[in-house]
Amino acid sequence: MNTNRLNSFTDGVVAIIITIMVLALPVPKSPGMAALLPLTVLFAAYALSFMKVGIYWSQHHHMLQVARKVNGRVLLANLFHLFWLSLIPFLVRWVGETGVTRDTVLAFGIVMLLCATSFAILRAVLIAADGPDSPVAKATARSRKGLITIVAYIVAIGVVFVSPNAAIVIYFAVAALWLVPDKRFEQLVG
Amino acid sequence: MNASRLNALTDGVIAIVLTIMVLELKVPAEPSIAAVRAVLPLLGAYLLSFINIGIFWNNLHNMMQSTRKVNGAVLWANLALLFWITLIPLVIRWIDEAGITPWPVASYGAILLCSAISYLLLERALIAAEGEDSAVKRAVGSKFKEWVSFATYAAAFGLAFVSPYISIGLYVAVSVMWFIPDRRFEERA
Repeated sequence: MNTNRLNSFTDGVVAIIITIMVLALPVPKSPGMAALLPLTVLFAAYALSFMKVGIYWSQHHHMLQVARKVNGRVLLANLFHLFWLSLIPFLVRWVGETGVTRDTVLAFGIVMLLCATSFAILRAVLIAADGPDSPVAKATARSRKGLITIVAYIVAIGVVFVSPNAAIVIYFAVAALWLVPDKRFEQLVG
Repeated sequence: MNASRLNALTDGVIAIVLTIMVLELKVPAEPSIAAVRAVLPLLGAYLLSFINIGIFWNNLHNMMQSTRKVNGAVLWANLALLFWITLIPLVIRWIDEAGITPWPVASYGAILLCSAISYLLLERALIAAEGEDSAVKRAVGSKFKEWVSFATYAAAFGLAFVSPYISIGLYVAVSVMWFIPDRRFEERA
């Protein structure tokens, strides 16, 4: 089986996730600039979430460029990853209603950890389907960023109980780490 | 890497943005002309936004026709453009609740300005990915219209505090300028 339908399904789901998040943003209560200020935090949560979904989509795009073969396990691993991504708009809505609290920051970290873990599982089953000498195995061989991310989220989940703000700094730091484009796939595809 | 998945995501996001905007529209409160008149400004904002997003999509569509290669920088420039476009339905809702007042109208300009900057960055990233003698580079040419809209949106942002209606006039003017289809890419395709 080739990757066409898996990719188009993923693109559809991600397009909806990344767009409906905006529905969680309330409009300012009055027409002045002062009315925008209380929304700054929620707006930052929106921007961070948009970046996270964008990062996962970019990585998916890159990884699937070099994947030649998918099987039932790959499809399930992909769905599992999409499931965790789909919870991100829900978290933005929660932040919108209760603000940046220990619980919302904790939930964000847990969902992020599961997004990262499910992406690592997807990579593992793709390599299993395509063989240890496949382009996807070679392109992801020196993947240290994935492991750093998982560790950073586990740390952030612990840190939430000390200081939610410190955990938020970790979330932004991980996003910054991934914003640097990954050249490994581009070199392989040309 | 070719552009098929980038296009699929873009089309998905823009289709949803165009569609959720209509959810911001309210039905007239009662079956009378006066009630219809009350929702006219919002209908106007909806129409203008639909046209603006349509213009971005058309231009993207044309530009991506002559694109053969994308890379990480292109994906990010494209996502940045999508980010700003997703905020348009939010501003429409604000204009609905606060009316045609300086800050909501200026915010509309700020978002269009950021969208225009992202579009310029996307053009630049595509040319960087494909090379100086690529079809995209030749088709994009001088970017004259891009810079005109850029400057007009910046002016409209400031002028909203003099009169929001001047800004609205400028937004409409930029739309009219872009409404004339961009033949640069069609000639090459």
